Amino acid sequence: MMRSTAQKMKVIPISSGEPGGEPNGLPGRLLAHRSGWLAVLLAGLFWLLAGTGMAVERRTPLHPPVPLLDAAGRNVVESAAPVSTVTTCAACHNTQYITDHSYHAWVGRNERFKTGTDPEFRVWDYSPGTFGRWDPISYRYLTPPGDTRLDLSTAEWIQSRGWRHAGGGPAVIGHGLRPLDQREPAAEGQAVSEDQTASENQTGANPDARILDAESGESKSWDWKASGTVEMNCFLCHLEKPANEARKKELTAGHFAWASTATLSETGLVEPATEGWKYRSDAFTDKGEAPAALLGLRAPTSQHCGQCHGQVYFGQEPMQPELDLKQWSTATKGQVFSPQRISMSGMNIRGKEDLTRPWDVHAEVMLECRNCHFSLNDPATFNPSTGDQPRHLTFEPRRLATSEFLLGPNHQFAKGAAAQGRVARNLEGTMRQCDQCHDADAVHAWLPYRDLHFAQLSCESCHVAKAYAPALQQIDWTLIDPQGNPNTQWRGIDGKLTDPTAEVLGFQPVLLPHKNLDGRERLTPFNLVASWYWLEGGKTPRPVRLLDLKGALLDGDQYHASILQVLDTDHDGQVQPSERCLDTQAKVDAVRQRLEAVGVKQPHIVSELQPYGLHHGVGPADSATRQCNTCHRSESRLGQLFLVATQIPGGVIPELVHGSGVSLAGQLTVDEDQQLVLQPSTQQAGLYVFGHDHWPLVNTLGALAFGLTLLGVLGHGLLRVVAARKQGSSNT
Amino acid sequence: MKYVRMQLYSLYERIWHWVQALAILLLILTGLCIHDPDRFLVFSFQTAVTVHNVLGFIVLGNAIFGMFYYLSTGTIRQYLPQPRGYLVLAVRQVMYYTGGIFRNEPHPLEKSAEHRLNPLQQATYLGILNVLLPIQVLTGILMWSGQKWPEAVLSVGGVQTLSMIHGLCAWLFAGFVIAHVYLTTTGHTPWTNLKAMIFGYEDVPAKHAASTPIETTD
Repeated sequence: MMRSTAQKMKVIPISSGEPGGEPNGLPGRLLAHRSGWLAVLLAGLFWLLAGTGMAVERRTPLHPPVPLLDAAGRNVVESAAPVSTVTTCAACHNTQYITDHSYHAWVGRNERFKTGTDPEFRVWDYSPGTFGRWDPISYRYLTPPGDTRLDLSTAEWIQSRGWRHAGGGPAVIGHGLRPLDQREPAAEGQAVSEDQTASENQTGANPDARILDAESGESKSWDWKASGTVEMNCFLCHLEKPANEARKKELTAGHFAWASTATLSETGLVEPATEGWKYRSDAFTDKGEAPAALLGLRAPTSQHCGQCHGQVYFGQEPMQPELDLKQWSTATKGQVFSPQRISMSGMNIRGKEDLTRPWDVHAEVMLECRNCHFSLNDPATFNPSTGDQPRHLTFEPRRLATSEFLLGPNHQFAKGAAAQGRVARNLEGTMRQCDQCHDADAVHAWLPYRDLHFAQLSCESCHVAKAYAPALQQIDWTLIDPQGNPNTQWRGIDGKLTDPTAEVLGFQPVLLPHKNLDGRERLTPFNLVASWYWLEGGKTPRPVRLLDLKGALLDGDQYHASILQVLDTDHDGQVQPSERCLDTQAKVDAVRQRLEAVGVKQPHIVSELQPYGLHHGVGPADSATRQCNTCHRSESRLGQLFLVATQIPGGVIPELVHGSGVSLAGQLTVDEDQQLVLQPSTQQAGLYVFGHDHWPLVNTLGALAFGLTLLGVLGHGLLRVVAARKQGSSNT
Repeated sequence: MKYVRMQLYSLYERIWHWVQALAILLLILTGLCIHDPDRFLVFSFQTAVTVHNVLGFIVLGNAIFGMFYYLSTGTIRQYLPQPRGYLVLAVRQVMYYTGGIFRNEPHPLEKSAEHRLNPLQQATYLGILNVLLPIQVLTGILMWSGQKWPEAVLSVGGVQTLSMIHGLCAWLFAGFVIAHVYLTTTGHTPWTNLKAMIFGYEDVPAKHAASTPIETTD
């Protein structure tokens, strides 16, 4: 009991702040600034109260203790079954409403369309979210029901991509309507189900029931009753210390039902068992409830969001970001959400001793992600649509009471309109924009032609002038390595990602016009990620399956002999990194022939360019671009050359993905080093930037007219002087 | 030879002229700074823009005052070519610049306070003051006003079009300045016309004096 009390005292939100980190919450920080005598006084008071048991009562969070229930509604301490968050939390919260109103759960599953019907997407995409929209970074294609061949099935999607999914939605019902673990197994080629499907063909692949065997290449059935499904994991975002690694491990292992339970492993309520997890009954109350103080239930912090979205760091030690694709936003945009000074970073950043700015000024001033990406029915932040209001109404006082909100908090979070995100587009613009918190006019008095600048430039253009972490530059799936990995290049780092001594340079994003919610295009900073991959042709084009790529290119853990022969240009028997690119027609042909040999029809290389908007990583005002000649000069920032790729597989120039709202204003060219570069054009962006843009014809004509005038004047003057001298001598 | 001193330019006309001259020169200079800061940046870009805008309004204000003056005093008539005999006089003027001036022939124009512009000057000023200057002022104002009335700017093709016209006119103005300065040297002496625009009067050979002199000298 004493241990339990001590634990409770340790995890009280008001004094501990962020999950898994140092005391960084606002109250914690404020307390840290109190004078010493006050701390001593409070400590003494707590010590006195602890003896009476009052301390526990006073320091217990608002949330009551929670009886953890399994899917059947039994207390898990008794049933020993996996925790069902949907059942457990339903005692007080409308979990059905919550799961129904969460694009984090549905990830586009509820917005799907038939493949090839939406011109804003690839012809094989069938949803705007990760459940149906193909991504060249994660590559494997989540096969829609009825498709010709199975690639990524629902179960494998959870295993490989569930780490970025909150659970619920397709992780419960897959492509159908009924929970996956309540259906009868179906064979491949059998009618898919009675459920709604994305494809008209009901007799093809059955991704809900089957899974592709990586060894044999055959599909086999997946036992959902054994694996269970992944309910929306409330613990992941609401526990003080969610055990995300344990959760991910369960997902990868295919123990889906245990994922939520594993998330509790940092609370001391559960511990690993031979099969699944077991509950530590001593950690529960006498009534079999999980003490609220152990759970530390709370509103999500930025670190909760960072578990899926990217590097968030609130610690005191020098930050050492994980530079891999698991830190999605960091990997795609070079962004880090942390109040720490960049100079304090553990990374070997060039000139970092002078970079005394924080990674993100919003983190420094203790904002959380939820401050801008708030729940849409949170009464504190409720922002009714102006379109629905009478014109005379300037404030809508009617909003939910806190108790009503807590009963049914909408998990559709306010969002902007990012170029890379398509899911829940009906919610675009619900987020608080920069100008809804900041009065730009008040602090830009120094800026001439303010309105013009604001009309043409996004705030981020100047306030996210640079990303200080490396980001993905290109990914090449046309020639995988013997381990089956693509050739991936990052920008903003001089050396390998895995080398801690590699110098991090960061990068300046390219400024491209992006259609804003007001319908106006503004220059916005982007990282461009180029990708190359093989596409199978025919009536239903699909990215060539990784399985087929491996089958075609590899022979065990080596390249197939015919591939090795063409790649090994220096004939040393090895494929050097510089040789690992389809940079000649002979190499392209060799791979194509191998793909055809394993049954891929009409394989051809396709390339695309995905813009990732930089909206975070905002610096303090003094780090923003404010010199006129940054843009108003020949070598303008706006026309700065942007390296797109250092290699161009198959010589295929990438095309901008559709529907991003970004205009590729500029020209993609191959420079003398055979690198693909983008030369942005302000004129193509519909801009005329004084000092940068010129009318060459006007200048030529004008200079010609001016020069001829000057020449005429000089000639005429010279003739006058000569004539005057002649006359002078004749008069003499 | 006897010379007579003739009053050609009033004090206001001289102030008007020099204000315009200085403003236009500085406009060309700051315009170059804005147009190509890498090569011509004398001031900071922001200073160049601010000075350019202020000078533009000075030119505009001066032009309006000038128009009022020329209209109210009737001096405007000097700038209006008389159709009768204009062509003959213009040809004569061209012949003078292309031949007579080298033979030290007398200037075909008998200058007076009421008639001080030759036909070529009349045509040039008509173009400068009625076409070039208004276009330049209008395009300049529209570019300046892009902040306040972006729709107006868009309605005429946006800043791109405006800057093209403005730039072309600037080149023509620069050319005009060169020609104008040179032609001031084509008086009785190279400095006669310049002095006249500074002091207001010009010493004209007595036989050429077309109006009442203010003073006669030997």
